[in-house]
Amino acid sequence: MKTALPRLSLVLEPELSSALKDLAEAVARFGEANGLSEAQIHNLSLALDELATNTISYGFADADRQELRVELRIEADQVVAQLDDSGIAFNPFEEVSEPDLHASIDDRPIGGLGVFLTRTLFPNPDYQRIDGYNRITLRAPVKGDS
Amino acid sequence: MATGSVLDLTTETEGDTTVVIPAGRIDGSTASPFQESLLKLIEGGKGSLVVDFENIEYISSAGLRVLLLAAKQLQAGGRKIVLCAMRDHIAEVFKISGFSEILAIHPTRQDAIDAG
Repeated sequence: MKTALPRLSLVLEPELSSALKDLAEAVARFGEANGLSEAQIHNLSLALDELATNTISYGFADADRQELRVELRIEADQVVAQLDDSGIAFNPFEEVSEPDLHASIDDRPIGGLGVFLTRTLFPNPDYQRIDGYNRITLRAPVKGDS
Repeated sequence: MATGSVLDLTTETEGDTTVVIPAGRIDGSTASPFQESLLKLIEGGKGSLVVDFENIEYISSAGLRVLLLAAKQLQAGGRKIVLCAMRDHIAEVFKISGFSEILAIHPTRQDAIDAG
């Protein structure tokens, strides 16, 4: 019997390798407990990976504290993923430009894709700066296995 | 790397074509060693590079970046990269990012080798 897990909160290490591993495990555990489809678990995992990778790689460079916390929860018919970090104030959805999806191999710049993938998988992401923390909230209608 | 994901990599050759079969997750923590391996193989080979995704369960933009870099390197030498055997959710990431327009993706390894 699977136990329902309506809310999962997790502190991530400010080190990429262990953070991504813990994040992937947490999303899988939360997704399976709530009967989310494999595709939805993958999308949550990817979007949170992209955001956490950016925070750990860039956001913490000049930050006094390196705190990163993820919360996953079910709200009515929505799955909500929230990422809080103590990095420098940065709204990736305003400050990262859209990649040119139709450029050729030669013209296509290396990078800039993570934020775009996140926004495509979770349209209308929310960003807030609260008491020294960046908070990003992603929402999507719950998609089950069947 | 001790606590993180590990990306295993095996290689085979088919004539001039090098076939790479990575296994595991390609993310921000495994992309660097993956990039090093691919660039070494490109430097040491002379034909196309086939990357077989059969045993890849996950790829993030960090992995896409490595493939783009490899494609640029190969193209500069008149060679190409051919990908194959992707799971649906991985193929979707290539589609969303526009990479399926610029990189050749085939259903099976043999198709990829034939196209290489």
